[in-house]
Amino acid sequence: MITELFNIPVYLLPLLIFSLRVVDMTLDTLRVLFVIRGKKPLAWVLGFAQSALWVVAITSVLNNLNNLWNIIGYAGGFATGNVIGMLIEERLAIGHGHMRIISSRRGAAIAEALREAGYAATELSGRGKDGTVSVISSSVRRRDIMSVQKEIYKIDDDAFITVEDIRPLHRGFWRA
Amino acid sequence: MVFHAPAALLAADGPAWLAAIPPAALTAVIFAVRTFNLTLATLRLLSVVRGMRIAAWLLGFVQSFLFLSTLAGVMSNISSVPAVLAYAGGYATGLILGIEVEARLAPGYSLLRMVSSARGQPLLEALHQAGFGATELAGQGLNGMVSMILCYTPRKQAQTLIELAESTDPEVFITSEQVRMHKGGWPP
Repeated sequence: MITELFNIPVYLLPLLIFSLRVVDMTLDTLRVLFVIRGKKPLAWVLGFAQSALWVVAITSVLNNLNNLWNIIGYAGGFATGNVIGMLIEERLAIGHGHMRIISSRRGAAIAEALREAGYAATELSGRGKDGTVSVISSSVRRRDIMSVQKEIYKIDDDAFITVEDIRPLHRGFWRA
Repeated sequence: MVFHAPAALLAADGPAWLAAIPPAALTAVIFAVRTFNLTLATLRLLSVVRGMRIAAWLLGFVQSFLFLSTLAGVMSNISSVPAVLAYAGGYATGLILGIEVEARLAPGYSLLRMVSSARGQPLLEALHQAGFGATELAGQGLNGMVSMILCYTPRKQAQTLIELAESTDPEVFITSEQVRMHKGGWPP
């Protein structure tokens, strides 16, 4: 269908199928990741565009199944688009993450530094293997996680940091 | 430039081996192939959610290749009610199987949050002795002071840990969450 429509030479078809699949799987992966984070309008738009592109790609392949390159293009595009979607989502870094920092010696300094940098931090005192430790909870925008982590390691390079995904929160103090 | 696929593998109206399968067995084949395909698809999706790029690429390639080389041909043969049911049943079964396989492989880390009202201290010691990092926080519950213990563990070991905790305090309340990334800590 698509070869007649756009007058594409047969040897370019695998490349075209690959590109279509890369774009459609990139959109699809972004859609799945947005669904998980509860972004409804974005998920709708991406879902619509993705399925429209997919129909074109699958029909081109099914009509030309005799050429193995078409199939390799289809599968390769699927796999590659999937990974590109993940990379884009990490760059966009929409949403928030919850950082939990456990520090045995410099808890107060870390909480202080976080607040100075404009983040909300809640400090709890706890007990670990070798006595008292500080547990600091801080919810930050995902795109800020790396820089916050660097700041923390400047103060205490033994700090134990974990990050969890959180759904959008209400209330609390958020960096403007 | 046209790279002809072996006819046994691919053909527009289904692979050649398909014709050799008696119609009665075809339903079972559709079910099996669909189940396997969806197992791969589910594993791929869970890799995406966990940010495992290489696994996502490989699973995606195999899943997609298998789909075209088997199911795409089979699809035109799905005309009877049992065949449709087999297709849908394979989809649903593969989904569950994928979740099951992923739970067995258990990549990544979990955070276990344990709340114990009476035996926080021995629980903490037991966890440390078993070689897990754990941090105890004091909290207030319905009947006074409780201990809340945060414990990070590879997902594979979570079950061992839960059993250990339950043997120390049968009343312990445990929740588990997925941790996306972590840095530092004990044991290293």
